[in-house]
Amino acid sequence: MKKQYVTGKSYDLGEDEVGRMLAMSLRNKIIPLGNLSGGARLKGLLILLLSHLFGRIIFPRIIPFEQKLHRLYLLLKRNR
Amino acid sequence: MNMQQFYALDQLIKEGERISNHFDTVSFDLFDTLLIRRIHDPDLVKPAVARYISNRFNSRATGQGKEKNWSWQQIQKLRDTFEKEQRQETGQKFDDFEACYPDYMSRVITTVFGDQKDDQLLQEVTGYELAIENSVLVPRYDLVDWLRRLKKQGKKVLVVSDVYLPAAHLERLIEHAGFLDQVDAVVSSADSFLAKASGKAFPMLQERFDLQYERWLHVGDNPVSDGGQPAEQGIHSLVLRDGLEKMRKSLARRYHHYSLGLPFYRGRCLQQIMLPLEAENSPQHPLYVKGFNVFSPLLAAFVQGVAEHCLNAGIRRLYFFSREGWLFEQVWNRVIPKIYAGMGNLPEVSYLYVSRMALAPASCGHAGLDQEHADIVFLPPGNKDFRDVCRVFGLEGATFTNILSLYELHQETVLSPLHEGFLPENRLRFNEMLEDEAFQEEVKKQTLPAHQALQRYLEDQGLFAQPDVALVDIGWLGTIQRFLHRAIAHRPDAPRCHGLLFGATRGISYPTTPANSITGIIYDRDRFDLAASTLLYNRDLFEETCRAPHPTLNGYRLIEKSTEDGAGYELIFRHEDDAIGQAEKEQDHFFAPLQEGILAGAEQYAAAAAIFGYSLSDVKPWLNYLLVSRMAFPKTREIEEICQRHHLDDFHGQHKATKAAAAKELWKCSRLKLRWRPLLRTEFFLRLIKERLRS
Repeated sequence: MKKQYVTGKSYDLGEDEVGRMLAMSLRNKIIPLGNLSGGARLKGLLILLLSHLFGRIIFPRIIPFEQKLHRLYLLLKRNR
Repeated sequence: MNMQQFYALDQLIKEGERISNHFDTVSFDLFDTLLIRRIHDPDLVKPAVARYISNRFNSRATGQGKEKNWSWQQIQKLRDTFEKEQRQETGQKFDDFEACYPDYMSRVITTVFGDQKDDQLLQEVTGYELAIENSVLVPRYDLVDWLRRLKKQGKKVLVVSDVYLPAAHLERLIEHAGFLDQVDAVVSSADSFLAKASGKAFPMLQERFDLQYERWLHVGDNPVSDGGQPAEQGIHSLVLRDGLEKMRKSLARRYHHYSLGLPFYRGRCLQQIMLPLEAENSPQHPLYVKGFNVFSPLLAAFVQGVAEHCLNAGIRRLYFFSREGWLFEQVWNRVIPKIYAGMGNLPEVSYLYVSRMALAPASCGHAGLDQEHADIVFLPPGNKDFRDVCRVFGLEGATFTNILSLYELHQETVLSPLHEGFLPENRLRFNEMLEDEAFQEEVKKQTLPAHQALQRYLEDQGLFAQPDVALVDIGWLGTIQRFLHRAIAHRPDAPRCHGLLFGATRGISYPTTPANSITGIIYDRDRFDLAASTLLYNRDLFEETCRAPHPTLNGYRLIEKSTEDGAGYELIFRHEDDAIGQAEKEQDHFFAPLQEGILAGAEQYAAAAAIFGYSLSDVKPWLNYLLVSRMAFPKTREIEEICQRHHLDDFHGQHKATKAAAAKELWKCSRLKLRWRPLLRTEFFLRLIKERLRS
């Protein structure tokens, strides 16, 4: 059997756990899967999915602008 | 300024190697540079230490009969206050607002425990804090490798950190990370209150080690402390701003943030912290990965639930039943001492050699064989007639010929309704025979040696020394405990037996009394839990996963207590040289990487659960998700990879039932079906919902 990594390249549990969580969340909307204590909210799950999938591309590119982005983030947060 | 920023580690190391000839001293920042943390916020370790102190105090207070309790929140607040006070105080004398751990922690201990100054306790608390720190720190492999090369080139290597831990404590962390021998000196701002942040640490180092600024290279992650400040002194600095590290921490922060509002994410957050990083994350067998990512949280949370139950019920003795208990015990030893560190009333644990086949005869030595227990034999479809009763209860069939004929029965009379030729009146006659005194006398006579041997074994194991004992097993009906309790119930010193099962399926009702009960920790049919009930999809998988790599116990043999060390009993194990024994060995070998992954995962679970302070109920929604997604909606590849090859159960006979319709199981469907029938899993899940609602 082909060897695998416990921590996936995108810092997920193995490979694509977040995708599986999304699939299960959608399935849970059709048939009750049991007590998942409210489950994972779709919005948060989508953010996580994007972070896992595209984080490796995005984070190294934005890190030089980290301080500027942080200031922008604080500004947006204050205006919200 | 001599400061260079890098956004990837390999670029920094490449540049560092290129320019290293110009320098004879290289100083490294420690945290987030040489060592990275699994957690996004270093302060997360503090509540774990507060819980430890709280446990220590409360255990001591309970032992002394005092009522005063310190909650961990109160202790945490105390620590924060004293640390802040010290920072304010040093800020008046120095440029940096630094604190020194032993100073303020000894104040915390003195305030909580009220003693003058307890150095031993301070050392123990420090030891725990450093152990927790060690469990979340991972050396950055490439950077440490470069450090080793620099040392080999004859450079002076220093580790400099702005942190509340003094250098002696940092040395312990570096020693655990495995490169203390490569470092000339470790310097902490906690010792001198001169930090990198203000730049005061660098002149101090220059003077102390007689360094030349122009021959000094500094490597760190903070653009100010590790970049701007040393560069101002004329030190060449390399600053690492690693995008991937940022991504990892951002994910950990997000999972933690979500877990505060949504209980579902607590288990997921915990698993994010469990993940191996850097060199720890090497390619592994697929079963190891499943063990780490799926089974370890399930089993670790199970033993955590067992510990919670014991602490709540005041149970001080716990036995893990063979053979699944073998893995449970190992998981317990890795998880519980860390999660409940400092707690004095944890139960003493040991492994008990038991099996249904060994206990069934022993249970009849005093009480005989009643209908309730004889009925258990005919639950599995493989058992058919009186010969199976004799096989299970260790009786010699030939000695019952006369009694059987009295009731118009013989050894081959079909007694199971699942087999052809079954007549209800035969079963009624069999039940009548069970009430026959002559029959019971013969049963007792034949099973008495096994019964006595069992008593000696249990006495040897200290089972009768406590009023309450917890008996831990994988499941499912609680038959082992039923037989065990029946074998000891007549004794005045018999303890109350609290059965704690991974899953209590309760296929037959359990004779629950205050002296003998079972509870399912992850799943219990008495509590409606649809998600957890998915473990019914493949119970054998859990059994095989946890099973010990030793043969099953066949019985207890009574021997003479003549020799000095002779305990008066002998454990008889099944031979492994037949086809079934060989198949079992093959299965053990096949699942070895899975068990390895479980144990590695359990270590990390313990550290993560200690940090977050999660209980079983906190992680249960995530465990439910794991069960549903892996048992009810598995990928075809997963079934192929993990499905067990062999499963032995001596209790089940070899007969083939004719009337029992083979239950359809998702895990036994063909690959073609699994791959190409998109609604197959949903069909099975709807069937499960129907069954659970009916039961």
